[in-house]
Amino acid sequence: MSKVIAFVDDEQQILRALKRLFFQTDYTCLFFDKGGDLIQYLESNKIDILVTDIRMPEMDGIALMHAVKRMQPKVIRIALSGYTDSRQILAALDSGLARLYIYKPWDNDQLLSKIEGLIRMNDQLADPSLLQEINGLGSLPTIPDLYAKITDLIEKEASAQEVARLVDSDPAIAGKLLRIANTAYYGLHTGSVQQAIVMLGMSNVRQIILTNSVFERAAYMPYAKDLWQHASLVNQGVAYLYSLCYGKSLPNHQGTAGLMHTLGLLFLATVKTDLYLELIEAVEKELQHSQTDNNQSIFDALETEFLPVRHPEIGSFLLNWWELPFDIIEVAYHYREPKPELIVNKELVAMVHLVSHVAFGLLGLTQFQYALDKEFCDANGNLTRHQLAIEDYLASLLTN
Amino acid sequence: MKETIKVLIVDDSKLIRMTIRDLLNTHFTPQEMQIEMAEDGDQALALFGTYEPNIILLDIMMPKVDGIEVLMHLQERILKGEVQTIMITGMGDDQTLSKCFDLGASDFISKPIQDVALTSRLKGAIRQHHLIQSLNRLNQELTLAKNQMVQAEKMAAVGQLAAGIAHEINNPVGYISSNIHTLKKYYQNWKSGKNQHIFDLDTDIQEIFEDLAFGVDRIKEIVDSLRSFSRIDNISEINQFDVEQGIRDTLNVARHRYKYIADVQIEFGNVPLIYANGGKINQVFLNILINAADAIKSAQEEDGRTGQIRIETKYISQDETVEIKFVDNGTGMDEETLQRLYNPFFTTKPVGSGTGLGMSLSYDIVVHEHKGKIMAKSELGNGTEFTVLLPVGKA
Repeated sequence: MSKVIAFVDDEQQILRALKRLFFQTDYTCLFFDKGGDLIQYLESNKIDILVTDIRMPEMDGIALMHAVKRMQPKVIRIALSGYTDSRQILAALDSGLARLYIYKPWDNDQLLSKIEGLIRMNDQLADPSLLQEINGLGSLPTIPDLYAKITDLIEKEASAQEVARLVDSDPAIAGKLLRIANTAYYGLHTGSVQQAIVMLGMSNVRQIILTNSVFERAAYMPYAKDLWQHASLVNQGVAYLYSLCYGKSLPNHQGTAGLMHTLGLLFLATVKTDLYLELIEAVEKELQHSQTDNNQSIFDALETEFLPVRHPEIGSFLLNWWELPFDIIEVAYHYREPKPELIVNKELVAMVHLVSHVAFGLLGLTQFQYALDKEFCDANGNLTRHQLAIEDYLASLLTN
Repeated sequence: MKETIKVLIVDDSKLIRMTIRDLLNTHFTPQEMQIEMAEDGDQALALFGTYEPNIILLDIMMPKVDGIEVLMHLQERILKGEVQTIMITGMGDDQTLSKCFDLGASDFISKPIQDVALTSRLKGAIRQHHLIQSLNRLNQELTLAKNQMVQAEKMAAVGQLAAGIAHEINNPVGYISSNIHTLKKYYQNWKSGKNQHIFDLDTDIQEIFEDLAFGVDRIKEIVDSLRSFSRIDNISEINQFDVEQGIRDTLNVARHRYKYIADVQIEFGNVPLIYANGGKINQVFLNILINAADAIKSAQEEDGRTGQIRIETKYISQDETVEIKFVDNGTGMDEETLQRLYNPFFTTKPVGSGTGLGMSLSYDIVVHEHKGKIMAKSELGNGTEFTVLLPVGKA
């Protein structure tokens, strides 16, 4: 059964252009020039993906996505819009209403590959056997009550002040936000939650809250502190690398890619602590024996033996389940052994791949190390020439 | 008191001239005061090219050119506050003295000249002079600031529009580029003899050409309106201006602001051209239009009403005035808001939403620059009606 994509835009010419583009694909495509018509259609039919414009008369894209989320929550919602300055759209992305936002004018090939990539990743992660495996490992982390309230505020474009007031009610999360905001990347020195929120941006605040329960539970696990330090370093390193390569700052929605990419590991640490420790012990033993360079990703090889599902899959599953931006999910899934034909945002994955590798090395966390794919790094941003700079930068962060 | 005050003594009596000069010299140093003298009105007026006095002590009765005549010559300078005159009067000069004051004289001193009287009057005149100078300076700064504000407001307005216009252009660019890419594919497939579509290629290609042309026309229309709307950039460009075309241009340029909010109805009375600064008048229209759209949007958030904006133009022949009405069915304004409507920086919108100068500058443009009128009628909850009256001829 081919997937069903519904396109909604009030301009016929746009719908026609999309129709021509998607004709060569295997998807079943439906076209609506009114949100209301799609809603009617959904009363007795199902769709898999929604691609919608934002600015439309009568029912705008935001209202449409809300309605579709209510009626068929599993539908992947993608926003296609030219209204680039709209705070509305950013709020939609920030609150997880849209998984992906594509600008008009779009590039035909890019549009296709982005949507295909999103569908592919979603399919992989929605595989019921994966859910079973993960459930088998342990119960999924709880989402703090705070989360729903904050999402609501973010959608209503609330001020940082209002969000701060809410966050203050949960000291653990407030503390987490402050700690992250006070890292070198954000360069803040503050005890003010409100300032931290402004600095981090709503999107990141939401993600941090969502994932906090995992970090919290893992806090006392062995290596948890190291992994947290590693994640924090990678987060800052990626932002630094991005500015080196592209001369501008990392887009807000990718701001926590580094922080989240090893989430699977932490989850494992909390739900299957024994297995987790056994695995690390086994890796350390292997390392002592082989004495070679990290050309074999020993951890990955052993992980497959010990566990039914590996931590990149676990991590990306969780992040997808929480509906985090697609870019971040891809990073969590592919950061160790990137396969270019499967990846949409190759540049971001390459950056995390490089920085994470450097960070593991710098922190002496050889157990978790993996082999660096130089080819992939150079093909997507010519990154290896920045390796030394990254090493220096991360080292400087450590000494502070 | 760093500046040297320049004094001119005009009197046909040498004795009076010397007396005054000597008295002044005992109270003011040469750095504080420079003193020149003239025998009669003629000489005084001749001096003005080279010596611009701040204070003139002027005798009323003089042969040939008397004090009154000198005053008449000084009218422009007196009105600008550049010079002050103290009349020197004798007995029986009352009627003429009164006339001097009508002509702008500041003060008078009676003969025989007495020390205290002279000095205090001079000191008073000097104080006045300084005050006027400060005022002039402040005025200049204000004008500069005002011009800057007008520019800033225009930039802010343009900035607000830019996002909307970018979207308006983005859509056609979107499907134009996509269709070109698709056409390329069709062509490549045709060249390599590959099997194309299940549906009719011929029809599709025809449709593509139609869509491309449609898109290009849309972009042209937007760019034309933008050009037309902002033909300013020359702040003092006063010309024959077609009000109705201006409204059309403004509607085109701001379409994105009201397109999803309200229906716009226009009822034009084919009014004559007016003599005006078109760019600035368009700015006023834009301002009223955007406020109307925002007011309707607010109302819609409460009761989802159908937005309507009506724009009418009419020529009032007996006044030789063009009347433009903007009627909206938005949230309207209460008495208090109406009162403060034209106050600079007064706004009912949330922080970050505009400069709060729009209506104040619009008022300035219509009333001060074009000698027109702008009036607002409003009912809270129901809507607002703006009426702009602009004279046809030169202001």
